Amino acid sequence: MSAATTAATPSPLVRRRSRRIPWSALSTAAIMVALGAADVIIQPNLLNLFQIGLLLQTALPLVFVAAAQTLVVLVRGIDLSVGGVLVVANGLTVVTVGGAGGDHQLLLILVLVVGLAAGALNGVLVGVLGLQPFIATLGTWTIFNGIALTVLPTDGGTPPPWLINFTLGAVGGVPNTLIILVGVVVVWRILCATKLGIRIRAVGADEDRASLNGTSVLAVKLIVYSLAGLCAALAGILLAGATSTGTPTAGDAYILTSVAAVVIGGTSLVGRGGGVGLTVMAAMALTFISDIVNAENFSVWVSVAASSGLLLVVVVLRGVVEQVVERRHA
Amino acid sequence: MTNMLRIAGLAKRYGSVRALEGANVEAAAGEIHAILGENGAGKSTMIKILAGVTPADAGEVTLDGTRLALGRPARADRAGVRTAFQELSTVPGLTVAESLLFRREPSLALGFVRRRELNRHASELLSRLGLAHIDVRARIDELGLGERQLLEVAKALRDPARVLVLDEPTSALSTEDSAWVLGQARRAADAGAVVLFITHRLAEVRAAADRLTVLRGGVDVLTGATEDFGDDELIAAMLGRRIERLYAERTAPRSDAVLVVRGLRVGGRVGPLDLDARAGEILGIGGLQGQGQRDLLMALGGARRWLDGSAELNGAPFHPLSPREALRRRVALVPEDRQREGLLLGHSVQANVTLAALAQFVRHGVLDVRKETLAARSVVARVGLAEQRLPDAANTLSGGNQQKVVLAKALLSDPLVLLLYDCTRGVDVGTKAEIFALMAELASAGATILYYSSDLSELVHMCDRVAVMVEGRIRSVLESDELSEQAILRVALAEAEHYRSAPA
Repeated sequence: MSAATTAATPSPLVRRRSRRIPWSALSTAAIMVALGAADVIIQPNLLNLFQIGLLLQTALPLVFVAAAQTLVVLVRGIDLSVGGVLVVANGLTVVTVGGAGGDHQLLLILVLVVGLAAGALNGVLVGVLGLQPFIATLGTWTIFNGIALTVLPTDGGTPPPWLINFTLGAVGGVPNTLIILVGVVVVWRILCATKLGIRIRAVGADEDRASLNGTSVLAVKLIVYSLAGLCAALAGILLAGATSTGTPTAGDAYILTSVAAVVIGGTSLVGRGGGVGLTVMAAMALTFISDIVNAENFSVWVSVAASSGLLLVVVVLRGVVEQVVERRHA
Repeated sequence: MTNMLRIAGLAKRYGSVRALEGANVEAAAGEIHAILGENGAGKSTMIKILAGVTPADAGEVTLDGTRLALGRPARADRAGVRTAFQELSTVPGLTVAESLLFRREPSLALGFVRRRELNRHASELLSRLGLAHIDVRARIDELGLGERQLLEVAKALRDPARVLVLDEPTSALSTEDSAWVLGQARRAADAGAVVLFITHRLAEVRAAADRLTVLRGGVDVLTGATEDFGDDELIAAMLGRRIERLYAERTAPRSDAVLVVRGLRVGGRVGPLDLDARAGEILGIGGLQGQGQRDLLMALGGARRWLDGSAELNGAPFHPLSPREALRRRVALVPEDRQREGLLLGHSVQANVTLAALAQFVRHGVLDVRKETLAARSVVARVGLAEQRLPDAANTLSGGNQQKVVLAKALLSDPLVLLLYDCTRGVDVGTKAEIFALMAELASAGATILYYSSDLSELVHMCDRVAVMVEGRIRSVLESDELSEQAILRVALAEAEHYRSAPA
């Protein structure tokens, strides 16, 4: 046993590696800035806080749906039902909260709880019953759409006036919508700094290993899907505020756009990291595209095609850059 | 007796497979207790039960007479059972610090992690264990297999253990790093822990274990003090039969050079390398772990880009840009991480074996399944795998059998040059003997084998020559008459010492 007891020290082979440059963050920021600049060149009057607030009013529903999608994608899932949760919340906002004369602001909390519960249902299907996220949320998407049409069968209704005023309002000249946008990123950064943030990253990277370490994968997924439901509900509420009405069929368009925002942002669909900050930048980039298309009076399909084109270009370029970087590091 | 870990009548079934059928182990505090056995003997299942990953069907685990509540990893952890897993439990997406202190993060209210504290605790832990050279902010997936294995042990040593389970903790480590692991195991035992040590390396059992238990077919077949048993006796107990010899008889290599490499550079740190390998030769690639051996073999197998250099294969220029191209030139690579790089785990053995050579069986664009099956059968028989296993999914096979599938796949291309990277890692003695026999047979039929192993005695016994690599270069090529474990270590370490003392 003498050999074993000598104080052996392992060989000093670990080279301290240079911090990896966050290509995804840089490239997404560049895309957002470039498209934003293009938008400003086309519409110079965009450069004042009130106009920015208005633009963000239309952007926020996508930002929240995309944030929801990012959370789920971070644990290697996908949530098609975000569109469904959005329209349920949207309908409830005009029917229940708005219908009560708008006096009962606390009813809004009920809408959020519904979103949370809808997300938790997805979490149970995926985490407890072990269904494929794509299949599980394909099912709940349809169910939620049906519920939304029951709550509000056709376009119409009015959200409470204070909600509309809030989305148009400002604090000391800074639009509320800008504060919310920054708030989303701040809340995400805070989440990252918590143990839950570490658990989410661990489950996303490797479920089996995370569970070897004593993490409950089920609990993490339940929390993540529930938070996604909450975000999607917020999107529905903000959409009602932005459009001043209820649209029970508005959800579907957001589903694939949210996935596009996640991918353009650079969050990996296979658990290699990413984050809501990236997605928010990508959602803004997509918003600039549709804003440019609107300003030039192009058909809405131009906007769709441009967004999809951006998606493809980004994915291809990122793949090329990553290979080059990897080669250089190897 | 007090302070005893008692594993009694442990049983576990997976479907129709009985992994454990009433196994017993008794080990005292302060002792290192080795658990030996072939792949499939039930060792891994026993570890999983102890670590709380799987619940047992029957039997119980008691410590100091009280029953341990296991059944979930968090519960086993609370009971003081610390496990270094063979499959490594450090999570790829996290940093070293996050991984080491997982579920032990210093935090404020609402779960805010104090990151600076976290990193400081982690570096303190690593320097206490003599691993201060590992950067706690590095991401786990940036580290090599050996480094991850060291961290796995470090994580198990994070908190005082009542039971310390080390499941093949040295399988990817150099001799030097293995000694570190054994030293830590002894220290934990001296501090009053029961240390269960699972390994395939008998030399380590001799060096470290006070007592041992041999498992076979899910039950314990032999137990007692280490010095009471000879190696042959232990191997016979593991196999249920005696194996004639571990290392197969070799024939002398021919003189004609098959693979000639000049000035090969891979990445920034490896090379320039010159190499001549002859027909019928097993050329060992030695040295401490992580000196560029992997890059060399991967480059020759077409899995790494060459920055510079040239090579000739049987006189014709050879520069494979992909593993596929290398295979077409009959140069086959067997990578180290069979689960990640060598196998499609969900697919059948047959699909795995024939995948790389599928073109051989295609006629007019249609796969000739009969031909494919025949070829798979014959090649699987050569590596000693039962042909009944062809339809089984690769992930239902034991580690040793998975390695055989990877070898069978390489053989199907009828290789001129076979590049083996640590293919006996975590493989039991019986399978090892079969692999060595196969290597000897291939070499005597004229194939050239480049063989990297982290086990020095394997290099010494199987190789005609050994090229020792240090810092990305071949420092010395030892001829057969000067080949010994000491000679390899001397070259590898002397140079490393020299490197360490030299100003950077």
